[in-house]
Amino acid sequence: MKPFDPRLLRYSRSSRGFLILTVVIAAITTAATILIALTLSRLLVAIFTNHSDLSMQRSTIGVLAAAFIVKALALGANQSVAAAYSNRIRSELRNGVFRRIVDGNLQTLYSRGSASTSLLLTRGINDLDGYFTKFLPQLFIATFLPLFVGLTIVRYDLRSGLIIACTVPLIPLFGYMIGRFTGDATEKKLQTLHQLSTYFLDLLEGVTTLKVFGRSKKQSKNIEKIGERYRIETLSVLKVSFLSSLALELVATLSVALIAVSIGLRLVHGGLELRTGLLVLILAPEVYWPIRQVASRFHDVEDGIAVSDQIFTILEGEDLTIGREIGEIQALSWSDLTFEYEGRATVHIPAGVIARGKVHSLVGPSGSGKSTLFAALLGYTRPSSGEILVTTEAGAIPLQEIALPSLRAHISWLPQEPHLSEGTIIEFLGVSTPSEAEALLERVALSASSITGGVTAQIGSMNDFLSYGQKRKLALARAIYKDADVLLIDEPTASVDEASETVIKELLTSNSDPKKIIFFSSHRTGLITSSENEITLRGTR
Amino acid sequence: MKKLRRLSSAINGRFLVAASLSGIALAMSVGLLGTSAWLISMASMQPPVLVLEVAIVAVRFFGLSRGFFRYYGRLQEHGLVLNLQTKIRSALYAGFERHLPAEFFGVQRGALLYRTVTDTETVLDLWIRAISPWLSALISGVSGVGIIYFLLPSAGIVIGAIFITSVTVAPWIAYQLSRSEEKSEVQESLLATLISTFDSLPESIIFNRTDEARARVSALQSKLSGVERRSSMSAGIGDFLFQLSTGVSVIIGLYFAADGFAHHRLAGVNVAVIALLPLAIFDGATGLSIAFAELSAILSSANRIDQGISDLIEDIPIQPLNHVDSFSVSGFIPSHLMGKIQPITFTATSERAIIISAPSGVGKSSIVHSLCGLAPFSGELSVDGEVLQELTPELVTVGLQGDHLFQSSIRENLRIAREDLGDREIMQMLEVVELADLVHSLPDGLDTHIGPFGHNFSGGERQRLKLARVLLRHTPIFILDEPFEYLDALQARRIAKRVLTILTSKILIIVSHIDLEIDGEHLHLSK
Repeated sequence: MKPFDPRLLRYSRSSRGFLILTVVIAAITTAATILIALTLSRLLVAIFTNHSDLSMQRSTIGVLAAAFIVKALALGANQSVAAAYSNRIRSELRNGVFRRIVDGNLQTLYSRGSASTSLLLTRGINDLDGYFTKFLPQLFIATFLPLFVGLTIVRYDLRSGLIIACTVPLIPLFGYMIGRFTGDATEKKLQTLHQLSTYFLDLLEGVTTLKVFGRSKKQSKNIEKIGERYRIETLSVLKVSFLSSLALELVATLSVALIAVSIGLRLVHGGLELRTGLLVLILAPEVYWPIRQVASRFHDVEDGIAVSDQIFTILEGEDLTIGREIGEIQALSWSDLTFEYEGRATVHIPAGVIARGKVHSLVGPSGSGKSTLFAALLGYTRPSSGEILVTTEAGAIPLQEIALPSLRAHISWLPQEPHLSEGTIIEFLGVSTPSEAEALLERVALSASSITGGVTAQIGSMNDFLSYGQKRKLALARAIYKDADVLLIDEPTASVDEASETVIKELLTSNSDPKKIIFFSSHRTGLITSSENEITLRGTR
Repeated sequence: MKKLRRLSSAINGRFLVAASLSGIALAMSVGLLGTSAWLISMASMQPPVLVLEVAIVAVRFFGLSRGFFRYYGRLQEHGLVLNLQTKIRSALYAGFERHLPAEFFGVQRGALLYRTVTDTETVLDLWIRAISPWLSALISGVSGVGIIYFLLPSAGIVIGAIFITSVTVAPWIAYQLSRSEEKSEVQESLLATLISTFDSLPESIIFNRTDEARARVSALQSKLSGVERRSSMSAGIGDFLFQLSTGVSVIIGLYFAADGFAHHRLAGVNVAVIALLPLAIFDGATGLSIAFAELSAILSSANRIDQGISDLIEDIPIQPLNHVDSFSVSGFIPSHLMGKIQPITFTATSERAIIISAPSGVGKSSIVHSLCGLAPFSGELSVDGEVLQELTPELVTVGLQGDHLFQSSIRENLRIAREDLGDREIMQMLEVVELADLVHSLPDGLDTHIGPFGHNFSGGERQRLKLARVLLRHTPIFILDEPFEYLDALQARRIAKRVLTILTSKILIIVSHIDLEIDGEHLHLSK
């Protein structure tokens, strides 16, 4: 875990301006702080030693007041500027990640699921706020303030300067050592945290199942159990990180105490002026606190830094919109393909070709890779070995060289488990009039009158009351409506009654368009026998 | 916020103690600066070194103890808040479980998630970021003001008044200006939009429907930025006011000290003490504004959590009943299908299975939901002649079409059926659904992780895993909704035959759109 990731500058344009402004504000704060110490010590000496009346010191007081006002403005601006930039940078990162995913790089989505990915984009990115508003400005202040304040002290009192020069490096050194020591524990804590939220999400998704199994009440106990484990792990990390804060704090305060006592003793022996003593006393803590703050705030932002790591990984993912543009697809072919899934046997798919003007079917036992092949043809999954070629007028082009938006413009698809996006049925299908929608639904044996609200009904929420079969038919209608060269249809008749099956079978197996490739998978034997070309997957088991 | 307050009442007392420890730690800095100032002033008068010894010891004491108090205070605070977090989560889950699913119809999944995950974390900021820092600033400030008052009462009163005013007014201004309660609403819709976009994303990309989602997300994003900008501006103003009052206090302290010294009401060595203490007094309260600028957002989260939580439910272990003779329904119809389909009536016994078939869209799944108490219905349910409100899990095992596979191992997923399941029984059942070979071939066997939404397994495999889980339960009645979906017809018939053998002595109701060649009463639903 690095305190500053240079990738930030690359992925967020605002971050540069932010860093510059932070430095400027830090410089102003430093100057004001030194000025306050100088004037304040002079005033105190004037009162205490010279018994001078304050009315004689108007100009010095004026400078002091001005310095306070400048410092207040700088700190107020620091807060606002940091927050405003934090906001901008987080928006940029969020937009970047969202764009990368929506552009079709679904790696993260497939491995985390949509709920967890969405949380990464909202809560996760918000966790970066502390990093931008508290930690990063502090990091810059910590490099400026101690240096200039230290130099000021050296100018007035070399010995205190020496004490500072000897003790200040201890703080980052301690911080580094402790950071290394806590690294593993922090990692473990973050893992448990991830587990905890995954578990919780999973529970919410599956609570219906748990309820009908009579197991839902039990989970409260489990939430408590994992929560307790998280508490214990977090506390053991916090113990170390607070202990490190304690150590840093001790170095800092003891150094200040050391300086104070040394000044005191030299004053007693007349080796030092009171004004210098007071000046150093006021300035000494200013050397230590910014460094200490950086070290102690590091634990507040660890979560944010871990998040930024995940975010940069997504941003560094491949931009699938870049690549060659293609024309009409004439055929799709693939060599022997293998796909690897974590913790299970590799899926092998034998070489095959699908060409236009024909109907192809894909058969094989469940788990043999039917949906996987479709995902690969769509460019959503990459085979770990083997190659997919797309034949167009320009010849055969490897799929990964094609800009995916261009490829996808030519392909239509019925997924195995369609998700209906929110909106009306007309919007979902992409047609323009209700009668067009009704006619389209008729083709997939779905009568608009069987749906509450007809084709203007709102669908896609939890309460649309559509059956699984109706959802599949809607998605099938959408798939055939798209003017595409390739039609990939995964399980067209699942959840569909027998009368509808005949209609759909007729629809899919009579490819009258010489320019269209129809490719469907099915477990229903009736559908399979009626296709012209059959591709069989055996599976590995 | 009665329920939330009740949950937090267990930690409030201890939290106050912990926050006080942090306050004492801050007070130690006040002590450190005060004694150092005295020490140096005293030393400049060149007294015998012995006079300084006490101050030297005090300086070291304050320096050392500050760290320790801070350490214990922080550790305690965090421990207590984590404790509360677990409590809130589990109470939220309980509330969710209790009202499922009727009250959540129409609530988006994202909104639900937001409430349960993000709101919980936001609400904890109330303690860690608002209450504790404010309290510790108050404690250290008051002790510093106390010292000034002791040395020079008039200065103590004036500086005390400034401190109390700024520690209340600056956060209040930040709170008032920010109006951040909108924030959680915007964030909630952002999360909900993201989830629904992502759920259907693979399809939206193919059908070129992502523009609308992009537009919606960017609109929400700029709305969120607006709210956040407002709260950062107000936090900045709060911080500015705070720093300003520090300066005012220091200068006022100087005047009072000079005046007191001139009129012999204040010893010379204490001049620096009075002038410098305000620096330490106000230092403890920096950074309060931002917490208070977020306060309205925190409170609105708290309100929603309060609505969502429920008391923990006692878990009564399920005692599956062994046998019932008959299960009948009469005039049964899910409430929302009233007038759309004919009410159904049937009597099922172990000799006579009921097979419900209907064209898709007539409401087969709704009937199953109503039968197991997930949706309201009218009509009558009776078991062995006794009328029941709903079928409880000890009476019935239901295999729903939308059943969820959890992100854990195969074994853990199957153990949801029965906790005491042994591996042998599990493997036997996997044999029935033709998954045993697959599991044997996996390097981790039953420990294989299923992945998010069963992502590592194909549709047919997931279907059979769910079926195995259903069959592992021991209840007298089984209701299976499309149990053989995604399987090829031959495999479906093979497995169906075995399922019938396993469930011979049970009452079986199957909803299916394909002919499974099962004997029993066929109920055909139509409009």
